[in-house]
Amino acid sequence: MKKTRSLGNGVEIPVIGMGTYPLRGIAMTKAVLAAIECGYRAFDTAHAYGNEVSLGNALQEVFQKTEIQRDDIFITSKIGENLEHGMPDCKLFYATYKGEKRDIKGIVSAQLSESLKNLQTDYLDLLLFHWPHPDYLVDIWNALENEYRLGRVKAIGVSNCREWHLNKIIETGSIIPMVNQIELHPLNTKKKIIEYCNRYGIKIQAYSPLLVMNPRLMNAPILNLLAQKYKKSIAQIILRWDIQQGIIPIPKSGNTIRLKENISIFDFELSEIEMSEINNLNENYKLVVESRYCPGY
Amino acid sequence: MRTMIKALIVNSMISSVVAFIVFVVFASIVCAVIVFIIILLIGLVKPTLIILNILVQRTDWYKIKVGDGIKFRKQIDTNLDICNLGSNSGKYAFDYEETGLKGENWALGPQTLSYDFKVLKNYHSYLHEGGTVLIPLCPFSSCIIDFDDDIVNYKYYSFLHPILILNYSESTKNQILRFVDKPFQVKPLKSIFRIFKDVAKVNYKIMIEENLEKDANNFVNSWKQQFSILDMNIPISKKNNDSITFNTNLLSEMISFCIERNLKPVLILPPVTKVLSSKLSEGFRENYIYSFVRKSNNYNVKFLNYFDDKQFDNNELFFNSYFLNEKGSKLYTKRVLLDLGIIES
Repeated sequence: MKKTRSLGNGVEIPVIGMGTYPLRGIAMTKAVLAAIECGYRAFDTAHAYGNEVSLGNALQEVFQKTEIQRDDIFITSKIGENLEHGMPDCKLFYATYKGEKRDIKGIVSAQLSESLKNLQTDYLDLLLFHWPHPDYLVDIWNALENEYRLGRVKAIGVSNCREWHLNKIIETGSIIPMVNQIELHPLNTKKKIIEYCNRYGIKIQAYSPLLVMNPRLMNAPILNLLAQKYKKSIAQIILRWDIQQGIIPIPKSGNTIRLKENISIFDFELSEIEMSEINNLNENYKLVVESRYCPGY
Repeated sequence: MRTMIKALIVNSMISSVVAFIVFVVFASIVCAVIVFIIILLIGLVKPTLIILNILVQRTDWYKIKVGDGIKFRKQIDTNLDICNLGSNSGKYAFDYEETGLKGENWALGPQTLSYDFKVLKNYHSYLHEGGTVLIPLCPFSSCIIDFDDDIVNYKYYSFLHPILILNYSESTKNQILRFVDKPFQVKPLKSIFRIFKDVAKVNYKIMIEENLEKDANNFVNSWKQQFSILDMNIPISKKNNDSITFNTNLLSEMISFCIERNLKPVLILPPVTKVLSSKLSEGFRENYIYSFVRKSNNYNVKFLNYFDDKQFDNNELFFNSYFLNEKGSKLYTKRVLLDLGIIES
């Protein structure tokens, strides 16, 4: 199996990446060094995570200690609101906040500059917007398109978008998003949005692919059965289920053994029946209830 | 003689020592008792405060101020089949407990359409795709834009995202959240007063006809006053017309919002007692409700009108002239779900 996938503009993205939230400091450095050794080349962060500096420092250490250089690494970050008690504070991208008119292009440009500085790089491989904030959805996308044209990012995409958000972007924008990063796991298979994205050539990235090891998922009999059959862990079965349907999972772990385990998924293949049995686990379970994070979602 | 003096000294020394020991023991016991009482009192403070706070949280005063928002702070199920928005009439009209459906009553009293929309914007992701959103209307839903007093919006601080709250302030939020959890500590005197006033009274007993008449008149008169209406049958004033235009656009936007997200909006007029319904003339209904619904209903979604529904003629289903009681809400919720084809008889 090919270890990368082509985005809409031909940019290659690794088939699996490492989520970094909420790692930071030494824990981040250790995890990134271990991940590189395991074979990870894609790292996902966001302006709101507050860990871009840690990731930037960790990657610098990688560049110094190994032969791997910036071009070998795929960095994704996201434009978005700052977090307050774990929730977006909605002070940047909501028209109602203080009733001021927003310079969305300026906000996006400034935030990207900060991300580049934090990550100690002069370009991002992929820039997403974190949430489809309704007041300025199209303006934010236009600002991302602008950054893409300026060459500060090699690819652009969206996060947490449903069909109605993508419809607006596709209708009004000039570039079709290359990626849509969403919560996706066997308890929420999101077939409709996957079909929609496939129709437009939008690659799906899955955050929380292992549902933070939720027992409801981990105790599912079919997953346990397949784990026994293939002599793999349940996490490996799920991640394999992702990549076999063209989804790019970004599991997070700071644990070297799990990091290694999560990327060792290229030596077995699930049958079509097994894939559909895993799909049958769907119960539209949500870890992130979208409208709580993004009012007007 | 010397022996006697010696014995006397020894005796007095022994007595002194014994007295001292007795004193120390006694003092220790007294101290221990005092310490014990203090510890006991301190130990009692916490449970006493907990009990007092629970009692305050049962008062109408607390419920109206912030209590309706508590339902949003508990774990809400995802994949809901149905929810309803609305003001007091919606709050008392729906009870999904015995329907076998996953439903949430998100009405708060009092609430404008504008805040209905805000609640929906913040919570709609709890519904599954194709879920139903009941939008209950009151006789004057079309006329209220916002309440003049910010205090009415305090109830939203505990569960709405700050961006949605009108005139939001961080310091108010801190005060409100403290009041939500510890109302007695925040307002002790008022709390004691309201505990005796509200908890003692028996709520929601069925009204006799005479009282219903009085109650219905009170509602009508307070509406007339609130919306500066002399005669409910005459054409709408400029001020009310502006509000109706505002709310027409808003309701229209709410319907579009639901449709875009694959939710099923339903406009609905819950039943009122015959006494109250008789005071809302056809002319009034046309001017303030029906034309408002027609203009807002851009997608021609279902509009269910139970104002004069025969099934709810019985006053025993209401706790006043306007609002359904527990028995009424259970019956009514089932009726609505049947009418919508969501459940079968």
